[in-house]
Amino acid sequence: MTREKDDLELDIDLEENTGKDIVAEVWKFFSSMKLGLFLLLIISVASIAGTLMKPDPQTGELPYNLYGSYWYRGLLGLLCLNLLVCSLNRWKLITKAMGEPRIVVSENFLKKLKNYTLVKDKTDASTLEEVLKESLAAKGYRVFIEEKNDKTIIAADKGRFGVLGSFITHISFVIITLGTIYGNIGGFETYFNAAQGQVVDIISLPDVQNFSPEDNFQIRIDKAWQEYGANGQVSDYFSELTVMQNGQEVKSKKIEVNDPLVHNGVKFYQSSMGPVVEATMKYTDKEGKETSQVIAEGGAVNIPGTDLTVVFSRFNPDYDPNNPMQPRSNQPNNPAVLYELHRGQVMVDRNFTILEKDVKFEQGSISFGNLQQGYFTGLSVRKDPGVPIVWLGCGIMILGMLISLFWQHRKIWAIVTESKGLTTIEMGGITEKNKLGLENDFNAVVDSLKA
Amino acid sequence: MSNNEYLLFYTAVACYAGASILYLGYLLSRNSLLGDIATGVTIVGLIANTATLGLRMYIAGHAPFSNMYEYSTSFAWGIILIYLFAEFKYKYKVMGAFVVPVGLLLIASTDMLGISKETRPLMPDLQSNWLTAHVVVAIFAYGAYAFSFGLAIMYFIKDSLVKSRSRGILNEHLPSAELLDELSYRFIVFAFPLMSLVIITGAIWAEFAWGRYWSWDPKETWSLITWLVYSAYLHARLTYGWKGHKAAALAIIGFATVLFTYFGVNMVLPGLHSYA
Repeated sequence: MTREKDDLELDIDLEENTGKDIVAEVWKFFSSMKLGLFLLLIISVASIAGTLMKPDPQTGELPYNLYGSYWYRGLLGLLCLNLLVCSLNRWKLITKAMGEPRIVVSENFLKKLKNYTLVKDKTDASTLEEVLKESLAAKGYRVFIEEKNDKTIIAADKGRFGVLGSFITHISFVIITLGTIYGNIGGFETYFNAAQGQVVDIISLPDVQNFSPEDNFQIRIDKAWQEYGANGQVSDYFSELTVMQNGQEVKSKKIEVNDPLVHNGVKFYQSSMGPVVEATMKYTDKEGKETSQVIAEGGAVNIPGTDLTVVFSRFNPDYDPNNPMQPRSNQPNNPAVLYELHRGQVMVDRNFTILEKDVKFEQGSISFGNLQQGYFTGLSVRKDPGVPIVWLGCGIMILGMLISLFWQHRKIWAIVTESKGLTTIEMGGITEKNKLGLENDFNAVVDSLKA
Repeated sequence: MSNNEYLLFYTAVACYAGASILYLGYLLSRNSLLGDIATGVTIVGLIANTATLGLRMYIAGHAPFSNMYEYSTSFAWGIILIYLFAEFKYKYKVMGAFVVPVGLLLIASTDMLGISKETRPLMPDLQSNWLTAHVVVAIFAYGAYAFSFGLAIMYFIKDSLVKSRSRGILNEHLPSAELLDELSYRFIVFAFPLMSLVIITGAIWAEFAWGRYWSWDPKETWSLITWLVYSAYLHARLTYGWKGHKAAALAIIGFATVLFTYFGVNMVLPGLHSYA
């Protein structure tokens, strides 16, 4: 009876096999489907509660970080543990199911099956056996035959690999969770705003961790702009970035929303953009040769042919010489630029200058003019080494689900007996999934007997 | 919105409304002509629905996934397409009385909720092939869930009629409770991997757009809740043999979470998905 139960219930738990000791009890606790369903319910309810929290209107922050809390993560961890233990428990049954089906069954067992039929026919047994074998094989079934006490038992099954599907799906959930954890402990997430011309050192950004100084590099913002659609709405944001390592340009990329730059495992996402004042900086060298470069507030440019760097530190629309840091108004009545001159790491000059006025130094002079509006770019910076693992888990999950969907383990048995010129066939079929599919197969085989 | 778009859209709405009534009439009268007309009207509705979406794509220059009007029209399209497929496959026209109204409610939701039908440019973060994949798969997943929901409702009606030994035409006309239960399950089995794919393609898109494949924003969280409810359904069914009432109730709860993920999150809860 218990052996027959195995065939009826693949998902039977191994309660009988576990003893009374504590390890077995704990194992039993974690392998129970009741725990799994309970966890699904609790996690759903907690998640719903989390979405009902109102974010702070000023900061946009939630009053409580539910999804990051230890108890919520603990519940997800428990669910993982539960389905891992369940999967290991089921492994024995799965390997058994993928082997040969049990061939010898009793008439009583068949009578209890949902799909059961009794056929009596005057055709001789061996002919009908052939018909059964052929029609089952035509439906894609593996056919096994055994003779026992004047009876011929035909056992057939198909789609036995389908039982692997749910196993693979469960394991994939664990892989995704591990990928998420690895990403959380092995990466970082930060953000910066930068103007055109600015060079940003990655390791100096706030919140950067799990990042080796050997991998460090700098990002130079070559350009930042936005494009507009026909109706005047912004259609996309762009930044041209150059990766610099040890003073060398490594690579450049034009990034936009949905298309980040990746270098040394660090990704740069176009996240926001805002207006910034831009000026044209004109450099006149000793020979009177002029070169012009665009420089944005907060940005820096190199003076060609020199070791000097000019920084556009701040813009003052209404400059008051007596109180230079405090604009008199927001109107551009007397626009001025706070510039800095650097030679290597050393700042050699820092002062305000009004527009179109030459600032003289040894190698020539500079002036600022032609004010216009430019853009600063806001980039999300993220290192998440867990992402490939998460994608692997997702792929495996889909694979497992497809296997479950397309291979459903179906089993059909027939017991053939012959006495006094009358052949009796008792047939039964069983499946866990797609009962209609089995019914179709079953009826087709029964019909082939009658034909 | 152009006049042609209005005409096509309201033709689809009118057809789905007419078909809902015709299917109901067929269910209560068993007049096969009524059933055939219902199917025909539904097909005309689907053609108009397809043309509405096609014209919108042509005018806007992008997939019709930029606002709730476009989403609702797309999801209604999915429900009706899956319904017609199932009608031809299983030959139970009575299902139309329970599933076509769900498509009708979805396509009419734009007017019921006063949502603008205007063409809008796609916001930068929506310009992604992953978004297109995400929504296309969602259309089929939601369509299949809607179908399982309709069947679960039919199950409850049939079951109570059988229990009260009703000799009415409704009891006679509805397929057996067992078949309804099994079919409802089959559609969930079909929708579940699709729903998983919806979440995964959404995560890939989010990874490209925002740099995080999962941010626990309300839309993501609710899609996870939906996923959890349906996985509870599948486990309870396969392990504990939850069928009939319990399964039908879970199928209805599951579809309620689908609807909340779609409507509720956008209207009640704030989040990154607020544009869609």
